[in-house]
Amino acid sequence: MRIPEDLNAAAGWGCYKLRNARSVRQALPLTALAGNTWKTADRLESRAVAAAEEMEKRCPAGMMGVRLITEAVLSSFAELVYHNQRRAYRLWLITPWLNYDDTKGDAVRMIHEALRDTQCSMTVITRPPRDVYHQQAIDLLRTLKTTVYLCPNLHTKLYILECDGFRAAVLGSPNLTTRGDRRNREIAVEFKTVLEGGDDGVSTIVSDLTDYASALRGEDDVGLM
Amino acid sequence: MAIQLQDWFCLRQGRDNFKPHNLKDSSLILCHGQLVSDDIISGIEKRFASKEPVKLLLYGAWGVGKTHTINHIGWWLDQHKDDYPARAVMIEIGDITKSSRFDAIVRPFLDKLGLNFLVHLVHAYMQAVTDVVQRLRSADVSPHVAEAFNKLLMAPPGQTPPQIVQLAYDYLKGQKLPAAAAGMGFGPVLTESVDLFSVLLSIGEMHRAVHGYQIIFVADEAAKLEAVDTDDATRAHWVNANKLIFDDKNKTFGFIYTISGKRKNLPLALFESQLQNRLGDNAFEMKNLQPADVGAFLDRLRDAFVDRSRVQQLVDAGTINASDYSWDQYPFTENGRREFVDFYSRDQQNATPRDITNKLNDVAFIAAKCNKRLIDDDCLKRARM
Repeated sequence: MRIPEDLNAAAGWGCYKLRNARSVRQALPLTALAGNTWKTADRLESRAVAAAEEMEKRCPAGMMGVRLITEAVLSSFAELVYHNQRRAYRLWLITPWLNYDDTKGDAVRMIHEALRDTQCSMTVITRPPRDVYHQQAIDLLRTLKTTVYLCPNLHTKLYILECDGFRAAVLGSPNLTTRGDRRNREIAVEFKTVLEGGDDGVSTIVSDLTDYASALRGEDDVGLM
Repeated sequence: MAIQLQDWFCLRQGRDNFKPHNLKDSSLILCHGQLVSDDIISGIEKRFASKEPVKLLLYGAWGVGKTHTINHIGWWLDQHKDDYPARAVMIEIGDITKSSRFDAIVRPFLDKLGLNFLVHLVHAYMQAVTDVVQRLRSADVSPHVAEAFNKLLMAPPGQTPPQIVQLAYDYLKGQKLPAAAAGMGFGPVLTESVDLFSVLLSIGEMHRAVHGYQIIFVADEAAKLEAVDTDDATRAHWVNANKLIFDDKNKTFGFIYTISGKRKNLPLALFESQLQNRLGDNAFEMKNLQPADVGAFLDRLRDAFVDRSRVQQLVDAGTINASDYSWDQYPFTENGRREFVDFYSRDQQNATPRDITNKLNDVAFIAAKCNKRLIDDDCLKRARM
């Protein structure tokens, strides 16, 4: 389920509120409330806190580690991107094929929407497109800060999100396609860590997968689109 | 053969790309040179001169170079150990939830030091002071903590420790002991901030007595402490632990925190007003790079990473077009470098060393893929810069 834009904004307030454990009324300068009633501030406050708590449930800090995903692998990853859009600085999508449709919750569309107005840079490594749907998906992602590399022999499916204070990698069977997300039998392992240079297993694997993705760009059979 | 940035851009041995390594490159100051040398390092020298332990708080945006700076401090202390003897123990703060207590920091420090180190330390301390418990108690260590450290004496140094020693180690990490530990003389689980502070205090006291110099605990990325700000009781616990650490009364061990965030957004667990008073001039902000700093950063990166003689060979051989080449601009063309620096003057929010090196690697790969030996403005356009 996606967080609507207004709720997302409210969650921002909620995080602020929770972080400072003060009321929105105290947090806001009085001038910002000019023309508003205190009642409005109370409503904003309770809505913001509820939204922040909901957000915390969806991506709690305590859920770091490794987990197996067997359903909706890609929309789950796309949701992660969406929820962390403000702190994401780098995204890697390595997939032989990709496409999108107009279904609500489509992974490619969700990623596109999440990163549309951000500075997050994206690297896509995929096979040279031979079908219109593949080309359209690439074109959509290229409207963002995206560099596309083409690799005819690509079979890897790897998705990495690098954010301020948190990194996630998903390695598994699904292509970034609607079938891969909703119809096919797929399996993937998700790694999440809050450590940057940690010597724990998960952090090391995420670093190794990122190094793999980065070095893949230099391979002989990988070309720039 | 796959393109390697090392070959393509004549990087020095051991360099795969333009990204500095936190540990291997700890000797380098690639940016924030004035802050690191004039303020932070000279601040450390002053602390030593006044025989005070090193206590610092470094804050700034993600990727601005805080981790690199504390690694540089560790390297600097190592290089100057005759004049400024200290042992820096660095951990990265992991997963902190709103109910996490100070043991979330004490535990990784103990893990990093290891049981073997602590066993040796307590044995050496006993030889120096005779009565471990009494001396730790006189250093204001709480009784259960002093007793638990005393139990480490039951392990002969260098040999497999008996169960009670392993239990004492777990106890000091704030862990709940199994039922089998009942009757072994352990106190209640260590949850109070003063007790968890006592664990670090004990190590600091023993280290100073045995080795004659301070131990500095370095906790990287305390931004995660914002999670504990959601709950009054937990926040009070953390504020108290940090007050004990940064209080002038603590002359036993040093402590360094790094936090990602701007001053107004820092976790209250670390930026409560009484803590600010205790920190005084020892809180330093690391700012994003100004356009001139970006250029200087690129220069230092090039000097540290690139083998100039190999570049010159490529120029002499005509592989690099001599008319486009200038060492001052390398690995860019003149236009390429100007555009690259301009990008960060327009986008100050992302002008951090992390982002700059990421982008530099991106455009370097693009140049190599386009069979270009120098990064030009076309490569930057392709990287959506």
